[in-house]
Order: sequence, then C-alpha cells, then structure tokens
Amino acid sequence: MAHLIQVENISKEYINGDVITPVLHEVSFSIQEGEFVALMGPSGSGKSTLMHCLGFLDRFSSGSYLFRERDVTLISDTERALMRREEVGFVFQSFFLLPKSRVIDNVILPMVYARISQKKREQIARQALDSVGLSHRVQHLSNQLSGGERQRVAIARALVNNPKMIFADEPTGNLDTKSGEIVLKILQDLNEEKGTTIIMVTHELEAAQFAKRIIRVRDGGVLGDEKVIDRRKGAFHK
Amino acid sequence: MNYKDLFYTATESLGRNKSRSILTILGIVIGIAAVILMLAIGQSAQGFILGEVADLGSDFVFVEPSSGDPNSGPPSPFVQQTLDLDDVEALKESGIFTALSATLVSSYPVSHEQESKFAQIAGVDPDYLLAFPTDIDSGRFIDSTDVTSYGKVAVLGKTIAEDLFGDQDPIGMKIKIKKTSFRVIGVFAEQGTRFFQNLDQRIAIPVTTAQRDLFGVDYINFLVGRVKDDVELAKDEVKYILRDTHNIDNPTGDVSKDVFFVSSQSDAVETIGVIGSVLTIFLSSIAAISLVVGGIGIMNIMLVSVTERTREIGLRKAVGATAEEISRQFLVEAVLLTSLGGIIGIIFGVLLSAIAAYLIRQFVGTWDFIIPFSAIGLAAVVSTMVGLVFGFYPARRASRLDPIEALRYE
Repeated sequence: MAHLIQVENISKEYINGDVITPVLHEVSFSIQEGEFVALMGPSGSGKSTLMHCLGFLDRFSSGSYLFRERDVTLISDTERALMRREEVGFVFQSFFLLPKSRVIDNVILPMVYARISQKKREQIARQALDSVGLSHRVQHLSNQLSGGERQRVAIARALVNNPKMIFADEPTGNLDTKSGEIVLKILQDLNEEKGTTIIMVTHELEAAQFAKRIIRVRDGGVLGDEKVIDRRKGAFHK
Repeated sequence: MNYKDLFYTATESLGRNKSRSILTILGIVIGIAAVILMLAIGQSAQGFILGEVADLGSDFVFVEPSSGDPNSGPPSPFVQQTLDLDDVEALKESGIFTALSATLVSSYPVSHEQESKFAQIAGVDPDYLLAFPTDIDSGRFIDSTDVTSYGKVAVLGKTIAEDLFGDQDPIGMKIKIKKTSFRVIGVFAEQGTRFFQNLDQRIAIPVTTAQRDLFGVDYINFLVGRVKDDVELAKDEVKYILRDTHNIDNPTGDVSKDVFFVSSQSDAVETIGVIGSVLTIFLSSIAAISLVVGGIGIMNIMLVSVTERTREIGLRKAVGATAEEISRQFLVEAVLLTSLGGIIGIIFGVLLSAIAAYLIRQFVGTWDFIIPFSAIGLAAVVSTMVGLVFGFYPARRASRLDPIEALRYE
C-alpha cells in the first residue's frame, strides 16, 4: 500500500530570541492509508508538535515530509491552508466550537472555505451530525451541549470535507470516561467503516488502545512503534 | 469564501456584539451627519445670499471708499471715508446712471414723548427710491427740496413707527434723533431684510441734514447706482470720473492707488461664491476630523475584536482559511460597520438639515431646504473608505496570526 505519510529525519526547534528549544530530533516513520495511529507520550514529549507539523498547521525545521508521495516540506502558507482544507480534518482537546452559534453552522464552517454550494452544505452537515449521533442537536447552540456532544460536533466538522486523514489532539482530554469512550468509538468506526486514516495524540494508554498502532514519543524522539494486539472496542455501539 | 459568505459571517459576528457595534459606529454616524448638515446649510446659505443679491438686479454698481484693498468689505468706520457729495454730483452729470443714491448710515437714539429706541439712521436722497424700489405706506418720501434745504424730515420704517407711535398716525408728528427734532413725513411699507439689515427698523432722513446736523461729517458711506447701459463699461467710467475728482494719476488702473472701490452685482456674486466655497471647505474639514476620529474608534474596536477572537481565527485557519480570507473577513466587518454608520449618518444628517432649515426659516423668511445629494454620495464613499483604511491594520494583524499560537491563546 502507498505511504500516506512519510517523514525522514525531521526535526523541529522553536526559536525565541536567542533561546533555541529543540522539540523533535531526527524522527523518521511512515503511515499507510487506512491506519489508526496513536502518538503516545507524556506532556512535553513533542507529540503535539509532531501532529501539528504533519497536519500542516506548523512546519518542520529540517528533514523531509512526503504526503501522498508529494514533497510538502517547503510549501507556502497558502498551500498549507489549502492542504488543511482539502486533505485533513482536526479534532482538538478543547473542541474549539464557535461561541454562541448553532451546531449546524459549526459543522458548515469548513465547507464555507471549501466553496461548497449553499444547497449541499446543509445536507452534508446533517449527514455528518447523524453519523456522530447528534441529529437531534442540529439547531442547538454550541454552548448548550455537553462536553462529549461538543467533541462529536467537532468530529462532524472534521468530516464534512471528506478528508483523507483526521488528526485528533487529545480528543478525550476534557471528557469523562464514558463520553471519551463514545468519541473514541466514533473515531474507530470511522477508521473501520470509511477507511479514514486517523492520527490521534494522547497520553493515556486506555485511549491509545483504541488505535491499531501506537508510536511512543519521548523527548523529541520515537521510543517505540508497535501494533496494538489487544485492541479495545468501546462498550458503546450504535 | 465567496462574498455572500463573507457578508453573512461579518453580519453574524457583528450581531453577536450588538451594543458594541452600535457604540462603535456612533463616531461615524456623528461625523457623516455633521458633513451632511454642514454642506446642506452651506449650500442653503449661499443660495440665500445670492438670492438677496440677485433681488437687487444686475444693473447695480456699488461705490465705496477703499484703502486700495481690492477685497474691501462693507462700509465700516475703520475705512477712511473718501467719498462726498461732489463725487455724487460728478457721477450724476456723466449720465451713465438712471438713478444714483448716496447713503450715510449710523445708529442713534430716537424718541417720541416717552418712547425711546435705538435706530439706524440713513441719510439718503430722492434717488434712493429709484435705486431700491420701495413702497411708501403713508405720507411721502424725501424730495430734492428736502435735500437742498437741509430739511429736518424723516421717513420711518414700519417697525420703528409702530414702536414709537403704536396705533397713532405718525405723519406730521415730531421725533427726536439725538437732540435734533425731525418731522415725520412718511412711513415705509414693510420691507424685510436686505443684506441682513432689518430695513423696517430704519429711519431715512435727507443726506445733507444727516451730514451737517446729525453726524457732523462731510462724507458719505457709499453710493449705489443703477446703470443705463453696460455695467462693465459703467464701472470703468465711474473709476475715470472719481480719479479725476480726487486728482489720482492712475493710467494703468492699479486699484491699490484708488481711494474707492467699484463693484457690481456679478462681482458680489463671485465674492459670495468664493466665501461660500471657503466656508464649505472649512466646515467640511472639521467634519472630516470627526470622521478620522470615528475611524480610529473603528480601528481600536477591530483590534480588540481580533484579540478577543484569536481562537476563532486559529480555528478558521485550522479548517482551511487562508490568510487572505481571514484578512478579507475582518475588512468586510470594518467596512460593514462604517457603511452602516454612513447610512445612519446620512439619514440623521438629512433630518437635521430639514430641522435646521425649518428653524432658520422662522427667522429669515425664505430659506430653502436643499438635500445635498453630492454630500450624500460623498458620505457614502467616505464612510466605506474609512472602513477600508482603518480596517486594514486589524485585518492584517488577524491574517498574520500563527494558527497554533492562535488556538493556544488564552
């Protein structure tokens, strides 16, 4: 199978005045299409930075990054915005829904930038909300939802532009166990049913065990890369 | 992001902060309303003054003393008085005028029995009625015998007559101007204002009497004539004659050598036009300053908004908004604010102009309410421009935010 992501000797450091803080050091790995990978490590390990760089939100300082066999190491800011729009979707720890706005408007947002026609938007958004089990919340305001529901809105939002890959940054970090498991199950189903590649950053082993593969990150390097043998399947079933 | 989405997104986020949006545009509203009001009043005022001048007729020539300054103003005690009745005689002999009226004006206390008033006293000659056609309500006007015989006779304005005599018939009665006694021989019909002077409060007496017995001078303040033929030729003729009587050697026509100033209605119209333009520019610049202040207010609030919505900007970037799209969104918000302010300002401005016109009409009688369409167009363009100019910096700031830092912003 073709590599979806291939990084070689990538490093990342933050420069703040005279202070240089190395975050990632010569990391290499590849991810195939259809994988569900957990980037696991303690806070400060560089896993979030790695995800941001892979998701075109940030750029590596050195090394090479091939996305679908295209070298994307040196693409411009505008191109990176287009990659985020067309190729990937994001789910964040603190949801980042628009304040005081309807659930459906949040889900429609990425389609506004992708120039999807007005007619199709609503239909696609409703489908996405349905797939995360929120068809009864379409017209609610984002601040009327529970944490778990908000994260599911965020997942629906990440889905609408049909991304090749979804990046989830500690998606269960702000949720209780039950809501967290529902969210993880949705991601798992998405991976299995639609074949969407998922890269999830987490520091919890319980969450990582929903993935097919765990890449352990520590002090800016890859510590281990293993298949999950005893995969968890959520108690929640649609 | 297409324009429909831009517009929708902008209205959405402005609507989320309604009271702040309204307060923000207040500066623009006031600025635009001020511009409209100023231009409306300016245009009406110019129309009004031009109307006053036009009433006189185009065959008018004014002669006033001058210290050589071509921009000399109205007759004033500070200008050296150089014209006298010999000049009037010389000009009358030339035959270029159908009427030539010499006038000498000052204010004195006037009394009849217990009633006492301050009134403007005008020393005039019989030609006054020809120069400024005026109806006489009762009695008669000053005739040439009154002038040559230094007659102590007076013709009263309508209001001053009522003030002094009430319901009594003033004809034949005595009034005292300063300490001199005058006999009332006539009362003017209602005249209204001319050059902002209320003629109904004026008293006319023979110019000779005014010079010798009242003012104690031998000059006159100004001359007004109606020309027989061409006004420009007449103006030149007047200058030649007066240079002759004043022994001024001025073959090149250098006005700074003359001790008098000759002008016609068209000169006055021109001057009024210039004064009007200067006034309009002056008032508009004040209004423009308020627009700049309003614009700075917009910029300030937009910067606050960018800071407040840093995470939203981060999110929009994460779902694929380009820097340009973010910049455009904030620019549209700023322009939307200012053009909304512009529209409300135009409505207020027109309303205020109408009210102002109504109020002024109570005092001066005829005052046109002019809707300044050019000003409305200008206001619309300017308010949009203010949004573009003052929205540019906040929009650029928003667009340059790093998505990760923006998302992490607390």
